[in-house]
Amino acid sequence: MSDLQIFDEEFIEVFRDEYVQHVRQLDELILKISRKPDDKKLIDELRRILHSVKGMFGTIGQVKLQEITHALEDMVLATPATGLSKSTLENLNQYLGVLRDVVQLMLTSKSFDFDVDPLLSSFKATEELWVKISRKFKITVKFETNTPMLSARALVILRNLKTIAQIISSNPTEDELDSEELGYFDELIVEISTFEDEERIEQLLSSLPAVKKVFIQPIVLETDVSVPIERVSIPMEMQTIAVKLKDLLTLSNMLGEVISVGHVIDDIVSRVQKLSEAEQEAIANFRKYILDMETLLTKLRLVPFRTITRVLPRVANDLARELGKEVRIYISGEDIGVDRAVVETLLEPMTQLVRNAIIHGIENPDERKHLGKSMSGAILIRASYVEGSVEIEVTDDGRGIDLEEAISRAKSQGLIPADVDSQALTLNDILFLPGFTTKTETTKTAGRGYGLNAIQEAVKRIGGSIVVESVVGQGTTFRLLVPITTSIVRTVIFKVKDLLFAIPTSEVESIKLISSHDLEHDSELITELRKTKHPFISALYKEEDNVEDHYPVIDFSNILRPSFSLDNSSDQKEAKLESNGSVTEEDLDRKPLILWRRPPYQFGLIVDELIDAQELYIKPLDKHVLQLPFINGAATYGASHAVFMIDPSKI
Amino acid sequence: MSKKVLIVDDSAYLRLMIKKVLTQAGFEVVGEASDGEQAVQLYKELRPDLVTMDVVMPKKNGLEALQEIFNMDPNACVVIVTALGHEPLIKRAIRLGAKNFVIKPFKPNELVKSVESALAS
Repeated sequence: MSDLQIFDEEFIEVFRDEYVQHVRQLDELILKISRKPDDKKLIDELRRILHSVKGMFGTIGQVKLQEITHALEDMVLATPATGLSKSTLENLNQYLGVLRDVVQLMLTSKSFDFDVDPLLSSFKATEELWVKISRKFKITVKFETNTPMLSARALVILRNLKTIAQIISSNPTEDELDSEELGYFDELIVEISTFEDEERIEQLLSSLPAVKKVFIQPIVLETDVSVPIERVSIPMEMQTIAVKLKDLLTLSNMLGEVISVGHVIDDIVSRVQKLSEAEQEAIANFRKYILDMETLLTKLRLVPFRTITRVLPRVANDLARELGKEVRIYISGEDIGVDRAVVETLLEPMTQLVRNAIIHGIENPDERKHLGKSMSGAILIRASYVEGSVEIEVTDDGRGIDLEEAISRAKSQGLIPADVDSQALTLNDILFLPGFTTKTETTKTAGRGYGLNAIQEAVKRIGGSIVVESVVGQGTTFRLLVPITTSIVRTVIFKVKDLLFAIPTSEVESIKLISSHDLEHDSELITELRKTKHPFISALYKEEDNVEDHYPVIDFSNILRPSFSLDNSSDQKEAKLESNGSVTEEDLDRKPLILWRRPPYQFGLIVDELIDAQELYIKPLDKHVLQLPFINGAATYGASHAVFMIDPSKI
Repeated sequence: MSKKVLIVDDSAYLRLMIKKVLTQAGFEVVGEASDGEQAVQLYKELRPDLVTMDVVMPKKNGLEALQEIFNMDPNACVVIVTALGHEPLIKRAIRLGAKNFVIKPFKPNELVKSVESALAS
């Protein structure tokens, strides 16, 4: 069914009548508001009509008018308590002019696909509105070689572009093209802002003579906050209310309890033979509402990443000035939502990572110049969503960290044995060691007691991880992976000796069914396990049952050996791997092997039985109940089962 | 026999648009209401097979009208037609018993599809 069948004469007439009525109302309202810009009732009414008009433009496919109306509606919605600003009013008056002209178009064209471009060319939006509705492009026009009167051709192009766009800059400039002295050139580069899309620009330009090729690239602005921009928060009365964070947390704890009850109900339901349709539906609804509430609550607890990054440019500038260095900070992903708890925890570590980058990473301007780098160093901070987590990168383009040097420093500080095999070590093994300092003699501001170990501890506390990559001479990247929210975690639940444990799904690399035979003879598996730097295979099952096994207070550390201790040579680790082969074959026969990773480590864990994959609401454990370093919480599963949450980083 | 439809919307052009779309898709539009009060009244008189219901309307809003219609006829088939930004209202309408919803502005096909799926369910 095409739109044409709907948009007949009758429809156009009805539509036009309603449209004209809206325009008339807007006319009156805008006049009233210009006298009383802080009258909330009037402003609400204004927004309501703009909303209707937006819908009308949407209905008839006038996308540009729809977008402008949408932008204006946004601006009106964000009206501060002091009232509608002069510039918004100015925009509204301009817009009203366009709306009136559209009435004429509707009357004459007898259809809805009229061309609004001529109207919009006279539409003078203020900068604030223009930024919202326009797109920016960089256009490169390549000319045919040996085109006569090239500068005149280029001028024609600029004239043409002006009919659909504002010219931000051009090279050569219009003045240069006008002058007689312009030397040889074979391309014109123009930056424009416009309502139009690539296709329209391409169409306009490629039809012109002497044009060989047109390249059009959208310009996406990288947030450059080296000049701090004051961000004014807009009071959104009626739209928002302040809520005590404590109440929100209580609410989310209560929801956690409800989720647990939900699992109990699931458990009961699974045992009930027959449920009526209504009952099934009620249960389905219950699940759905819980899920919705969970999503919403999670969202409520999120704050933008910029809460962390806001202070960083200033910190960086101050420190750089103090050290006589030049630094620019680039930040992206500022709108990424992160849990409040995560923000609070990361604020200090992020500040320290930026400080470290300036102190240890970025070279002095003279040194940089000598190295052929730009005089001012760059620090890039980037946040993005990665599979249910937030990945944050702090990258500098400084001198990088030399692995050899770091190892020898760690040895001289007595942090690792002098005879350890350096080949097996990476920066990740060294930099985060407690007590390790990157202090060099040449810097006086180093240290301040918040080393990389403390940063790693903080990140782990919220269930995150941090790794480092560095190329000497080119720079260093610290990469943090933190959960978006801290309390509800998707987990794999497994059973060992009648006890249930869970680990976050995000940590699980893969799950395999293996037998002890595989462990010794499956070359592919063995290769995979050895590929990781610190392979660790351990059977949880032990021959000699001891009494302790029947309590939650089992000594796990007896069974789970640390994956990586520096006093083991790699030979010994291999030996350990083989010694586990001594567990009898029956015990190990076809059991699930959960491989999990927490860079730089990878673990393999043989368990008795896989139970489920489920979202669990993790509660911190009461200190008196259990004090095992690698258990960081508990949840209830089903009717009456306790599940212990394993923190892989602590094993 | 073609299904009887009651159209409820305070905007005349939208009523007309819905009417045209549904008529062309083989429905019979038996009534139009421009507010909730009228909607309830017309439902009582016409007993249509389907109602398309706007939510934000003068006098009685769509949710109130919906409630009264369901009180009268628990098996009423109602499709909500509303603008973006009214998600909470849509959800409430669905909880009340609305079968489906369409977001304004809509494409003719979208409307027909949601109406047909509502009648089929």
